[in-house]
Amino acid sequence: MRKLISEEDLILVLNTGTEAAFNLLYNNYSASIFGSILKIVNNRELAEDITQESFVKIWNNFSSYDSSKGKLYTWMLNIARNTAIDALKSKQERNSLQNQDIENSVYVIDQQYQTDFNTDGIGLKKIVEALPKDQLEILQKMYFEGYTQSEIAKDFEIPLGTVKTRARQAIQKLRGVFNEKQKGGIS
Amino acid sequence: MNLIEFKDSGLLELYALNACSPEEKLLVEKYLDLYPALSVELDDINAALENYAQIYAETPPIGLDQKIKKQLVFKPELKSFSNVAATEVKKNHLNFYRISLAASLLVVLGLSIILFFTQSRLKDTENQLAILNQEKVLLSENVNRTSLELTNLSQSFKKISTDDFIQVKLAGTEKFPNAQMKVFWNKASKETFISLIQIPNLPSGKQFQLWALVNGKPINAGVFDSLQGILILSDVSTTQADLFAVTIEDKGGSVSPTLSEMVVAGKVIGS
Repeated sequence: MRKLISEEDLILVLNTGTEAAFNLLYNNYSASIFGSILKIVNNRELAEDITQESFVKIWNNFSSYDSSKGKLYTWMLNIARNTAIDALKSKQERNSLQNQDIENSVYVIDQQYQTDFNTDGIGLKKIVEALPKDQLEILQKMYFEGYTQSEIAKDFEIPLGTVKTRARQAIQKLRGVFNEKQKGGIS
Repeated sequence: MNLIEFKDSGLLELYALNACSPEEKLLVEKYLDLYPALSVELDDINAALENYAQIYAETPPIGLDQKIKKQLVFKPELKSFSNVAATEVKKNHLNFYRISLAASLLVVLGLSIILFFTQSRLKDTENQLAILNQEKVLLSENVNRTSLELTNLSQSFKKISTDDFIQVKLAGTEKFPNAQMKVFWNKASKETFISLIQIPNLPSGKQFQLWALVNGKPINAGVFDSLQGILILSDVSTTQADLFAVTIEDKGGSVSPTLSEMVVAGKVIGS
């Protein structure tokens, strides 16, 4: 993962609360955050709005981030995820079912022909998406959409234990893929 | 549940995905405390998830950052002090020299045209040029100092985040419950940095003073003003300290700390 600055250094700089600090934060993480939000909401305009909202929240609540409780990026992603999920919920309440389907399908087609800005990811994307479907689905639902294990167990009608196992297997496979890449096994 | 059973259960993965119940979360955190090796495992899991998210990363449209910044409040850019008596870069002076430089240039230009016709103006011009050169030298000295300070500052950031520096969290006192500072202290080199995270307003004529407590005796570690950000203090003249504290004192500091004016304090862990 390309990084301009380490998380530790970034946290120190962020403590200064200056515009330069914000620029560093944005340059380092905006693509990840925007991409994650886009994956959840599947709507470019909405993703832009939510990204804005998320960064405002991240900046204003930075003092509540506790480094002993986890990484900065995880904290940021949670904020982005929750904002996206809330936005989706209220949007669904406003839209009629019909409109929503059309909107989603339009943007699905859009994304298939979208240029992939992240050249690093093209090969990796294919490999990751070749993961067993049931594992990939659980990973996506949990990581990007914030589903809990009981929600998934209910929706997919599978036992909780299975959910846990599949999540673990998915992550094991991910670790395998990225460790291979580090060793230079995947171009 | 032993360690192997715990790993096989997938609870750690669920914790990283933020998808476990509150009870499971507490359980995982207990295990993390008990087994340091699990933290390494968790870091690896988080790294894999970060890489996973990065696959879907996409540069947001240009101008989105400007839109965001319009809604935010920023603190003024940093200042640093190499020691208490260090020279301050004054923006006012910089602007003054810039404006007078431009003005002087214009004056010189005008005069040199008239000079062509009036010889008596020559001496004026020579005087102006002399002043101009002096100001130019001062200006470039100022600029060099600023860029040097910026370079020093970014080097300082890199330095204090290494393992050579112990981080000491200073929490607020009864009088100042919300105050928060952090000291970065290098026992070997004695360099000390302090980050002002949350500070009370300084009354006029007062300064903050950092103290290091050594064997029960407070030792002065430098004075500083209430500029936000990370400040670089003079070296703490001790390689041993049990506690760091900050008090409010009269400008220039005091020989011994005014305990009733203590803002923050924190123990050095592992000293």
